[in-house]
Amino acid sequence: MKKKEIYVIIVLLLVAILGVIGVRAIQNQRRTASKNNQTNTTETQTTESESTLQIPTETAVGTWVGIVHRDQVVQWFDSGVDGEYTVQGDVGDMHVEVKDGKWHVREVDCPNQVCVKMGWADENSIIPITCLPNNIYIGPADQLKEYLGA
Amino acid sequence: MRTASVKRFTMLALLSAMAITLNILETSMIPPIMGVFRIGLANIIALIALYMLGIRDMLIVNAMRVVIGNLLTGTIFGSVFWISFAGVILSSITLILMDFMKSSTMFTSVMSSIAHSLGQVLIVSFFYMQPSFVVVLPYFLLLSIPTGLLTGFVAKIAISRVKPLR
Repeated sequence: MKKKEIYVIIVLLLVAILGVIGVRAIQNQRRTASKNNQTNTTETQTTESESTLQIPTETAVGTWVGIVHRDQVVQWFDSGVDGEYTVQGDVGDMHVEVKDGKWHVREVDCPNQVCVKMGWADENSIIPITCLPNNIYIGPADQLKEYLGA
Repeated sequence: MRTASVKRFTMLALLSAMAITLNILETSMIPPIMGVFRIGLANIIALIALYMLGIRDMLIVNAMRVVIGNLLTGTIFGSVFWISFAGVILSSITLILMDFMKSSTMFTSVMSSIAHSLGQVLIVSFFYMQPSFVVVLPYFLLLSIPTGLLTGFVAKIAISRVKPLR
């Protein structure tokens, strides 16, 4: 390799590391901000979200997690309560299993099986569990607010 | 003249077959990092094709890899196909640019690896309307550099043992 090219790669590495740190920082900021909002204005928050997303009003043991199909939440579940949920996608059924505050896709009717291979997710995961053929993704309530623009 | 063209054609077919095999093997055997990120072993073959046969044949090898690889795994014209197609188009453009700039193999590999993941992220965020997916771009950039170096290193070893036909 030439010297110039090594420099370019080092610069790119630095950009990538800075980007990762920046993304982490922004995520942390948002999380603390949303927590503050929730503690300060709990009532207004719930009424707001009720109108758009219909987040369940009762307080969850873990957090409320939604399964989104075609831009609409078809199923809410509590990450603190173990269980299994089945939703209907574009291709077929998807079985979501919840255990110990984490969730994963146990079984799905689609050729790729990407969502099964994505494994377990919790509220700190960067990428929501996504199934493109079924047009489904699974994310916690505060992330869903961003995705759905609500 | 005639033998040269036959040699070239055979080489093209062999390289395409290798790229397709590596693509399918990687999809089925190596678990992806972070759920979505793969190493891109087929990129080695693209680099060798670029060195041995030239730009036009590299494009053919890359297109064959995506179309026939997806045809064999049964995901053709699905979402996975379009995502990998976008990645391959962008990485091929980068390979051509790097070829004109006469860069070394390792650097070419790193740049095309970055372009590949960039293309995939862009198509997911624009065409599947999830702009927040751009958040993973720095992570992909960070992972692309070591995997690009790895494939570049393997390609360098392979290239030192073959004669160019171009």
